[in-house]
Amino acid sequence: MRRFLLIRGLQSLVVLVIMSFVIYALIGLMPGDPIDLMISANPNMTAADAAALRELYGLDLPIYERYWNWLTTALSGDLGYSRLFGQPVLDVLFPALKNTVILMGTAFTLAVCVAIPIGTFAASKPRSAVDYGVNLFAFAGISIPSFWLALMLIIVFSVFLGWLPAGGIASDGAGLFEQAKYLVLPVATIATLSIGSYSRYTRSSMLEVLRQDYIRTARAKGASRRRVVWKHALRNAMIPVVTILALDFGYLFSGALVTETIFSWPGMGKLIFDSVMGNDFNLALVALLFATALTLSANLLADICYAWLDPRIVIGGEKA
Amino acid sequence: MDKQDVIVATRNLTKRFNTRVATRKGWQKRTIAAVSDITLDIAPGETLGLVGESGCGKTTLGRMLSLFYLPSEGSMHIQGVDVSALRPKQVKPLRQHVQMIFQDPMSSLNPRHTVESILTEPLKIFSAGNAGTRRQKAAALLESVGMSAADLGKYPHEFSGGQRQRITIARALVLNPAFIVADEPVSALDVSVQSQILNLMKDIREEFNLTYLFISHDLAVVHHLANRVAVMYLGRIVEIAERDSLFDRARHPYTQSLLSSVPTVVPNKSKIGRILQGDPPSPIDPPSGCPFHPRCPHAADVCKASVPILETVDAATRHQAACHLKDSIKPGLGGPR
Amino acid sequence: MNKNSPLFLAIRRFRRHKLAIFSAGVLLTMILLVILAPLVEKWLGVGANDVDLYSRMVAPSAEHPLGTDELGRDVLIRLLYGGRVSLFTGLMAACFAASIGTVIGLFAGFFGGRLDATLMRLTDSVIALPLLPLLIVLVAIDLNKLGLPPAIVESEDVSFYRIVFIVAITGWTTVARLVRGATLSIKEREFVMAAQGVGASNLHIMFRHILPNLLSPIIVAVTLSVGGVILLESVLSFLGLGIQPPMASWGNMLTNAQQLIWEAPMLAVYPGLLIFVTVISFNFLGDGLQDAFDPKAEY
Repeated sequence: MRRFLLIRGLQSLVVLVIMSFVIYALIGLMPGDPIDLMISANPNMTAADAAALRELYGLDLPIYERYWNWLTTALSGDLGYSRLFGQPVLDVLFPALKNTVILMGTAFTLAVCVAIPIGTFAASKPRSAVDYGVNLFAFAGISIPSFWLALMLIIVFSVFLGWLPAGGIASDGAGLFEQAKYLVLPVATIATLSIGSYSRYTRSSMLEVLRQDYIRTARAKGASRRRVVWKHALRNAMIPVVTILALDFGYLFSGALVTETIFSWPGMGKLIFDSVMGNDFNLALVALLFATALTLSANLLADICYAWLDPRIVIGGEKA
Repeated sequence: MDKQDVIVATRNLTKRFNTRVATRKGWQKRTIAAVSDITLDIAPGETLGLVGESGCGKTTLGRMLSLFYLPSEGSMHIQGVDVSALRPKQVKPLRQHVQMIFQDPMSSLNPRHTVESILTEPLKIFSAGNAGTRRQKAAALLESVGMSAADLGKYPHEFSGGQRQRITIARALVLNPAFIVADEPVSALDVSVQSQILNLMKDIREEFNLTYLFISHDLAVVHHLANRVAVMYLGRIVEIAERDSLFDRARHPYTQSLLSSVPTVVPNKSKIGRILQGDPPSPIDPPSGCPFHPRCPHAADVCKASVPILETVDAATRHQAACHLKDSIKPGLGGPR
Repeated sequence: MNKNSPLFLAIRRFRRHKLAIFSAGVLLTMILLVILAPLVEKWLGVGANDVDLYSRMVAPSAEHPLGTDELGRDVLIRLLYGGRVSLFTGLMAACFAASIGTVIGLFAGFFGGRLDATLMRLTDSVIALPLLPLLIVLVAIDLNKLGLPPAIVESEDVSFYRIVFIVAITGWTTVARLVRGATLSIKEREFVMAAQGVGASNLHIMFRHILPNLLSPIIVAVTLSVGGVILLESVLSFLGLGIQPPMASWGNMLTNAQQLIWEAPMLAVYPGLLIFVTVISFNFLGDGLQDAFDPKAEY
């Protein structure tokens, strides 16, 4: 297990480093550079001035050198300054991260608590009305555009009914109820989509397990249907589901981007969007790297969970 | 024997595979000798039967002789050509001389190809003839195996197991090979169909002047077709003889126990067959000395110490056995007639 | 024509799936309608990009069956033209991604060993990346800096090609994994060895023997991925990064809808509804195809 962890961890690290270079290069390809921004702010700047400034800031160096400079600076703790917010990057990043975690955490928990039971229930009564209903809902969940669902929810609950705000976040120090009001619609949006796919996975995984011979043996031994489903089948059915969940957890960080933007929820996703659109190179670079690192970690976690839960898998030769 | 008088000649042929084995310390690399030290000649027109349990290496040997594996050690001559001296790319022309008939009729034919496509493919690969002549040849071969030209446009799943095996046989004949390796050709078929296919193989043997290597775990089937039989155990040939000599006067204890387990139609045999003790061996960790000694009822100290080699026990029937104690064991145990 | 070919059998099995057939019908209707967009345009007498600031956001009328948008453009026509773009983009990107994935999966599964390990590590790495943020960055790239000639950069269609390309280079991974798995199992079948036995080269075996047996999983995977691709394109267009106005796409028709949600909520409903119906139809269709080709899978 340790050896496996080490190898996979190293792999993820390598990918992260490669991606840092790729992202750095891509950001560099975005329109304009810091000097262009200065020029647009100060029309009196001459071409000679611009060239001198470029040289001063090292912007005319080849990309490898620029990357190396950035990397060494970053590793020493200085991640740069955000032009859009006028603050050091990290000061902007962490609050955004906190907000995203609140949003994703709530949505994820809700989705899991709803999806797994209904998926299991649907699997235990195949071809019943419930089963068809769940399946239909699941299909709808994965087919609906998230931004459209968000807009529809806003139309119904904000425009027509006026119950909930159309976006934003509670001000600091507001009560829990007040904060919750702003959470409801974004969480509903994300959760609906997740419930759709999770319940579907749970259902198909459950069906697969329930078909196995050892389930029939348990039933033949006299175990009640409910006991069979919840005790015997669930554990084995959960194995692939957990993997999916762990993987999805990583995607949630980036998937929330659209929802956050629509609801003006100041999280990581919105930060990435705003920084890329606003040509804030430093912030965009660090935010993207953060998202990548989080997703890679989630993947690693998924692999570990999967291996830990399934006693049949021998990782690196040792039974986990 | 002069190498030109034989279709296939092997000397000390060995094939090793690298594999990984699950142990307490994780996956360890091991080398298995699937086939060890095989020295064999097959003359034109001969049908050599090759028998043994699963894992004894008979399939590997068959595949080596069909040019699917290159030898790790030793030499192999096919139609006089030294295969071991060839590089993989040079093997293709030799494929016209040796073909294989496969075991599983369900998976040996591509479900997406028509029969015509399957039969004409070898000709296309060797750029023989044109579309018209290829089709004719395919039709002719179908007739030779007892099917009709009307079957050319059909797909494999439209046929029964026996018919698919006929198609497989027809495909083996497309390139006019001199030598055919049949790897358990009837094992996957119903018993009633088996004899049909075996008789077919007999007929085409005459018609096309074929030499066979007939691999099987079923002695009764081998008896039907072979004129010489070799017995393999853990990658080695332990006994080889002309058919009747082997079945009537087997010298090696393993052969004797194999023969005794064949159900005979004549029920008046008073001898009770010897049941082999122990588990079939694993090639990963072979026993020392004679590979059969852990299960052999006659085993002596010399058997644990050194590997016996094939020695002639009856020159008239080209009967050889690899056993230290062959002179002291009573020959034969009876077999199917 | 052999009535028993694997294709016909699959078609017969497919016919039993009512929902999938219905979805196929829906999609065909939609495709037909969007193809006929120019006719509708002529019939209504209004162009898709005709701005009419005097008739902003009018209610449905005889002149404008679904009303007009914030610039006075007819909604129905824009929906139809937008459909063209969205559907075409989705299909093209999905096929492009499938081609990349098939080649990678086929080579990885067939050759195994180092090549397989390398390709799979590549695939896993791409899968492990946060999709949307990266796509956003890719879209934001200034093509001039890449060295592309101005003629291309400035052309009208560039946003279209860019989207197709970007979605494809991230979307191939599912197909690659699927194809690799299927290749591994097909490779073990005896007819592959038989082909080697008659002298077939590796390429011949890969493309004449293995690939035809891969078609069913590939078709299923492509159908199922079209939906995801359409969603992706619409998200990017919605964010203003995909298809650029004035070219209409269902996604970018929703871009300004949020601001107008208090005045003209219906503008937000139509395009999204069409996306939803299209995507769910592709998903049902793909599900039906999956069962038709591989009856073992549970409905």
